Amino acid sequence: MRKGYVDTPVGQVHYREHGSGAPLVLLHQTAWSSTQFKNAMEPLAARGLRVIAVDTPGYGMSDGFTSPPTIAQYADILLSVFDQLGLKKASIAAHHTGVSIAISFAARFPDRVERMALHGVPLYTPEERAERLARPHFDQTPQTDGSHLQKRFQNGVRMSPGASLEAINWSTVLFFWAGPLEWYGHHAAFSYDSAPDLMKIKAPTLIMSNTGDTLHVVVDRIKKLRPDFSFSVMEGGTYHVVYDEALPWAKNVADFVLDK
Amino acid sequence: MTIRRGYIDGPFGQLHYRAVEGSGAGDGVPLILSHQSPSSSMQFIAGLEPLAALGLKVVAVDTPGYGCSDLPAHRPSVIDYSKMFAPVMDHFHWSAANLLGHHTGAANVTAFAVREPKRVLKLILNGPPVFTPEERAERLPKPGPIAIESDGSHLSKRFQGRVNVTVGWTRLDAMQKNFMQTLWAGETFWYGHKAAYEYDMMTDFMALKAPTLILSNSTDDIYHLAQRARQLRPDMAYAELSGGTHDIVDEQPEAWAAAVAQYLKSA
Repeated sequence: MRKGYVDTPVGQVHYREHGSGAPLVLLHQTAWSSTQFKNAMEPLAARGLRVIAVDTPGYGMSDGFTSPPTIAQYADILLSVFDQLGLKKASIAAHHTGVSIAISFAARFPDRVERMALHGVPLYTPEERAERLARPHFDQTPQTDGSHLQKRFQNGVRMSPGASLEAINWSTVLFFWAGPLEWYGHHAAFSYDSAPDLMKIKAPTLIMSNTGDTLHVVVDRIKKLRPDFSFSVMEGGTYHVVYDEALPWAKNVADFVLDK
Repeated sequence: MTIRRGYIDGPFGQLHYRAVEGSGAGDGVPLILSHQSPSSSMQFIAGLEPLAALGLKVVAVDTPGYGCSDLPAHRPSVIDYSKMFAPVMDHFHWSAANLLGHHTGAANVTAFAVREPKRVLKLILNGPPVFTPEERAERLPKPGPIAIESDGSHLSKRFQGRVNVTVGWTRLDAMQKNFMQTLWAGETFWYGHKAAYEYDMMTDFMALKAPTLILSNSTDDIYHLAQRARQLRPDMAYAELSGGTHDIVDEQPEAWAAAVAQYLKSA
């Protein structure tokens, strides 16, 4: 496993790389980082893939935007990452906000995308987007009793019942690691109507979901819009399915990306 | 001036560092900074630009297993940690450099200076942990893994613990930033302290030949050890800042940088 930085218009973008073969770029959810794919890197690489997990700007070790970006802006940075890493074409596997970025990227830069596996597609109605944008942000202000950290952890347990404590812990750590601007990723995803770009995608695409994800309801919407896509559903799981069920997740992704 | 991050190949995998680049970043006096455990090079973030503005070419390196430096396959010793400095110097084409270590970082730079004296210009021991063997033995059992509690209380308890050992703290935002470095280190965060208590700092400290500054601050939690070091090595230079805690770099970045630069630039 090697880690590195590339220079982009937003600053340094950090990534982790493992394996050799056909390139597969991994895009994480908000407010994680490439750590989300920690358990999936090895099983994916073992299938003969060059796995590159990117820290979205503002998360993990990547420099971030100084004002709320659009999904298209995140996708523009991804293009810079592709160029810097010499990726003429790559497959993409993504989760939640990472999916939004992948959709925007694939719609506008179709010649750079091989195949895609998109897990948990943020495809909202205008009402759903408005409701999510109106939600208050979690107050990260440090308290001497450490309650800011404990509250966030407990929120995490509530939102993902059954997730491993390790996943909840990492999601809490990475949330605070991203700092007070952690909400930028969600803000972009909630502001983005992914439907028009979804219709433009040319790359063979697998829509993945798990029944324990609140975004699972979106699968039927996508089936109507793009009946030509492939679909794969995992039973149960939480928002942390990629971390907690990495082996079956990686198998589904690798099978599709390698067209098996 | 901007702070850039990068990777260098080291003996246990990749080493991660932060350095200042850009105009006014100082291409003169080379300085490597080694952070305390269980932190990362982020400990020095507030002091990097002040140091560069004073003409120092400064690189803060993450100790293996902290920040983004790879963890060795085995639990490392301070001697192992001390092997991070030569690759950093080679990367920047420095035949020798100044080194500053803060608390357990002072152990790392001491171990290096004793074993690779030719690569050391001057040393700054910012809070040298010159424990006696008895004091080390007493402290040795404590560092160890901490379980994740289902109610998240491990996070609040640990944060409270950090607040409690930072007597006289003034900057809760710095406390949070520095505590995050501990959490980022994951399950093996305790390795650095364990290594420090296993390391015979006293013997290596007494064997140091490099020109050395003992630097402390009057309300640091191991200020008394800096006084002990002074008594043991009256030949070494000494300086102290007034007040502050082990988060001194966040609390007094300009004064800290000035004390460091003054010593390194003096004859």
